[in-house]
Amino acid sequence: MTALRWIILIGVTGGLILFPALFEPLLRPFAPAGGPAIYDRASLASLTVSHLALVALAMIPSTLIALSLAILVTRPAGAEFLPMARVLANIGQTFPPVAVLALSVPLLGFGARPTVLALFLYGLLPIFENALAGLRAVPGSVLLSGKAMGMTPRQVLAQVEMPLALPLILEGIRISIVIALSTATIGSTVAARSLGEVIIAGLTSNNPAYVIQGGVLTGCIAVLLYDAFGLLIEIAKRLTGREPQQAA
Amino acid sequence: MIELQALTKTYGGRPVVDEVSARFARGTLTAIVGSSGSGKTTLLRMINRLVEPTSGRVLIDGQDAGRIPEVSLRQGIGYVIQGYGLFPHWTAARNIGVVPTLLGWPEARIAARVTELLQMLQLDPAEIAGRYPHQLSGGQAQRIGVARALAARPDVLLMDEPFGALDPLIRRQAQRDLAQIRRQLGTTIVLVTHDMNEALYLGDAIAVMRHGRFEQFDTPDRIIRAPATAFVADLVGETGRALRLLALHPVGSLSRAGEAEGEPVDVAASLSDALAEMIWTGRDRLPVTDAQGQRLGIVTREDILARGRE
Repeated sequence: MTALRWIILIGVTGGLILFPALFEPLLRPFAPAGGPAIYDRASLASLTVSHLALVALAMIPSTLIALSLAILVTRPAGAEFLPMARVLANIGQTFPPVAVLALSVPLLGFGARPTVLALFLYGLLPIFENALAGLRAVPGSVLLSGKAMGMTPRQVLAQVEMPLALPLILEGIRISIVIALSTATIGSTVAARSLGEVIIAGLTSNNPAYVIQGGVLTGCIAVLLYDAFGLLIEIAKRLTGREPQQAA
Repeated sequence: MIELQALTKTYGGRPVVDEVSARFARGTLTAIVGSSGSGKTTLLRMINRLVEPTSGRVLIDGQDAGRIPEVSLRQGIGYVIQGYGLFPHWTAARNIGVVPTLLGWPEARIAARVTELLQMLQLDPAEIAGRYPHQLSGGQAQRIGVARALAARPDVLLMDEPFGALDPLIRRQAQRDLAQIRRQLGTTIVLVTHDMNEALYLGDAIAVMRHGRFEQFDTPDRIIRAPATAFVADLVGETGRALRLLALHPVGSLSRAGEAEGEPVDVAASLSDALAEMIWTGRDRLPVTDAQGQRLGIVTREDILARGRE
């Protein structure tokens, strides 16, 4: 079942990116009579690459900052910053990405930058809250043990807290990445190159075939990344001994 | 040797540990007995500075613990807590090896030490070393906790309710094991418990703690015979005092020359066990043998009863 799911997802994604012509017969019925069924103003492959680049450019700083905040507020010295960090992360989530785009274009201009900013802000909260939950779930007796064995606070963080919180941290990154991946499509309204370009072109030229291929491709990549992170989380859990080892 | 000098900890102006001064001799086991809130855990944690004293000092072999860097102080002191606090993401072997790893021992030496400790605690290294804490039984996890505390051969071992999470049957076995291994180690042990029986069984010295002070700091024998306060007397219990006293002394202490019939009693068994055996089998003298089964002499009922009346 899972194998079949992987095969279909990879097949559709890879096929649309590398050999879009193969899908022509499937999309033809949705295209207007005489109009093109496959988007041809840019290759789907190059659009996918820039789409993923937008997501990466937003998610890397989002992860670094959200994780740093979560670590800071779980240290004794940083506990007082918790309410402030929460407010910060929440603001990112409260502003809809579309509003961020509209507000930031005058400052940052058209193109990729407003989109990266919107995705970055939107991604902070899930990563922050999950990392916080993960770090807080480490049992007090385990932290006390680490300290009592003579670990420095840095060693307790690196060797005990982070590995134990890792599955939840990855869960937060997974949520943010999937949201960012789908939200990046609206970046094309301010001229960021992404798969949204295909969807928007379909909407403006009344060509459902474009909307379908842009939408399906974005969706498949999102599901693929979601599943890939699921795998990573499983591995993290197994490496940290919290999943019963399956008999081979 | 551990010396406490007017050791005090106050929280919000309220003393939790109140000017406690005492000496715990090298190689002995001191049991600190008290109910919850008596300050016994706080006192214990001031020895390895998990809690910083408000005033007073702790001297370990004459050195002021307050002047030793926290991390190296703690690496030199074993620590066992209730619930053990094993690292859930590490195998038993890695848990045991944590302090040697922090100290930078070579890997082969750590592995050898882990195997040695597992064997000393009667765990099969091949079976247990690779298991994660959630795959261990309560008794096994407890022993891994003890092994971890002993890994770097500390001179001092602190134990905070180390048997508190075990069911009674396994607890008795774990207490017996501790009594046995501490003779091989020569480590100075401070053990915190709320169980007077545990303290009487394991302790060379017992400190009864209440409201942040030692009500009495004495040998088990003196604690039973001459409780200093009503609270201590209450903890020991008025009834069965003679039997408790007999439980503290081995048969060997009253062994004498002579002949006796029937099943022998081990020289290390307590006088109360010997008396129980006499009552049960209707004899008034028992042959005494050592661990190898060698005949050493006899123990008589009159001698035991006389000891209980002393």
